[in-house]
Amino acid sequence: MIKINNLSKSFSHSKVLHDINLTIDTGETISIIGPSGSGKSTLLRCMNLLEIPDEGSINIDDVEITDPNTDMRLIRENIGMVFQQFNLFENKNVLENVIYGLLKVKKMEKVEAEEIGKNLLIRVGLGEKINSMPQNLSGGQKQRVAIARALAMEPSILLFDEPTSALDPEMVKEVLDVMKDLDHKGYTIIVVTHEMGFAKNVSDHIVFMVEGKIAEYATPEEFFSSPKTERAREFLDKMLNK
Amino acid sequence: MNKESKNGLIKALKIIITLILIVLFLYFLLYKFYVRYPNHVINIILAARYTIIISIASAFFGLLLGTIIALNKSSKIKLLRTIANFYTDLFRGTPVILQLSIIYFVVFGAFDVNLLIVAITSFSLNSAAYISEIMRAGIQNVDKGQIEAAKAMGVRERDIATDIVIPQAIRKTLPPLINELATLIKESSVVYIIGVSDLMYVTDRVTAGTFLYFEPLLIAGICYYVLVKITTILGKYVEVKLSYDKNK
Repeated sequence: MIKINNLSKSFSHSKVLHDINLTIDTGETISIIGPSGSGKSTLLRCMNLLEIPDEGSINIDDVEITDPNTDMRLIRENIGMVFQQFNLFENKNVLENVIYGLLKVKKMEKVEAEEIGKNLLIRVGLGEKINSMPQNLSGGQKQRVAIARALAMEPSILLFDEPTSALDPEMVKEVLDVMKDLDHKGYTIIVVTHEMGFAKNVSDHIVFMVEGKIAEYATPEEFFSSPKTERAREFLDKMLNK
Repeated sequence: MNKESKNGLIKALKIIITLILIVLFLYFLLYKFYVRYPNHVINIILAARYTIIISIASAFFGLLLGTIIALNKSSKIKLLRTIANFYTDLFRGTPVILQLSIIYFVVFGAFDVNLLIVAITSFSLNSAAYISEIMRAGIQNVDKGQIEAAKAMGVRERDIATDIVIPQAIRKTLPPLINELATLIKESSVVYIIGVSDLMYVTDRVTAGTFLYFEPLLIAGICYYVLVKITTILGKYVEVKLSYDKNK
């Protein structure tokens, strides 16, 4: 369970997160949606301390990760993250990318790690590409490698930061398919996304953010059929009729 | 395809003919000198080995030290940053000949050390300052996203530096680093003031002994030119080898 209490965060002069309160149950899939600049990514990045919040706390399974004395690396080991820009290691091939964390963080034997890596790459449909360099992959393939890299660490939480926003439209599906496959596998999944279809069909709850605040928290059925706020109606109108 | 290979052939022929002409011309210029002093010619050419040793060793140690300095320049600790920046400032702000003199007469003054070691120490320290700037730029150019991705997995900062940042920085900084080696080949000629028998020193001896200037200086010039040319060609080769797209 992830418990976020009174979380606030500012960048130099602008306050990006205002007093956020949110509880996410273990095994849930949550979609965070909202207009650009609403603080979605910042909230996500606070959860693995890529951004350090100014105020408030985040507890993961009763461990307060925002406590300055906690070991950040131990917490991050348990949280996989997938980025908009893939962020694959350019000097490593596909398999090396996937097993890097196993070798360096989990101190696993190379043979064992490679076995895990190969299986994961087959699972995301890239069994043929294990020796390719990231530069020679399409965006969709890169993102699937990035997902395999996150899964390799066997995290209990997966964070997706706009995973399909940098992709060509025809590649969005292959990545979303892999993500859908992760639903109900025991992971707690938090996705910042503009893919309304995914948010509607896969997530258990929708978090709708506006100007650094959670404007609505609802199930997808409630949110997409009868949004409570005017702002959400406007947003949905734009997103669904574009 | 046919036209391409034909063009390639013409290009190769042009290069070969130019080379033959240059060799004939130099032969014409240097023939008399060679017949009179064959040993001098050989001595000058052989002296290039010291130039090569000093430049390569200095580039190597300069790269090690320069990388360490560059990493300190982005350190969280202000004192380390200040020291690293001051080091660079100091060595870039004074002439090589002064640095060499201080290291020879002051630092190693009381000891009887091999002159080569003095030369290599001095040029390593000097090139470390330049290389640290090259590496700093290289490190800053490494995609922040990749560093973040590694952090998000719980990788130690030190491992991120050695596995992700430095390898990519080296690849990106290869052209300026090769340039630095070429600079070292040329600048190392200063070591003649402390009596290392490098290319320039031997050439100087020969001109003093024969009262001939044109031929020995021309030979030395050719040696330097060829060394720098080989360096840049090697650099291009390594650059192609290191580019990731290659090992598909």
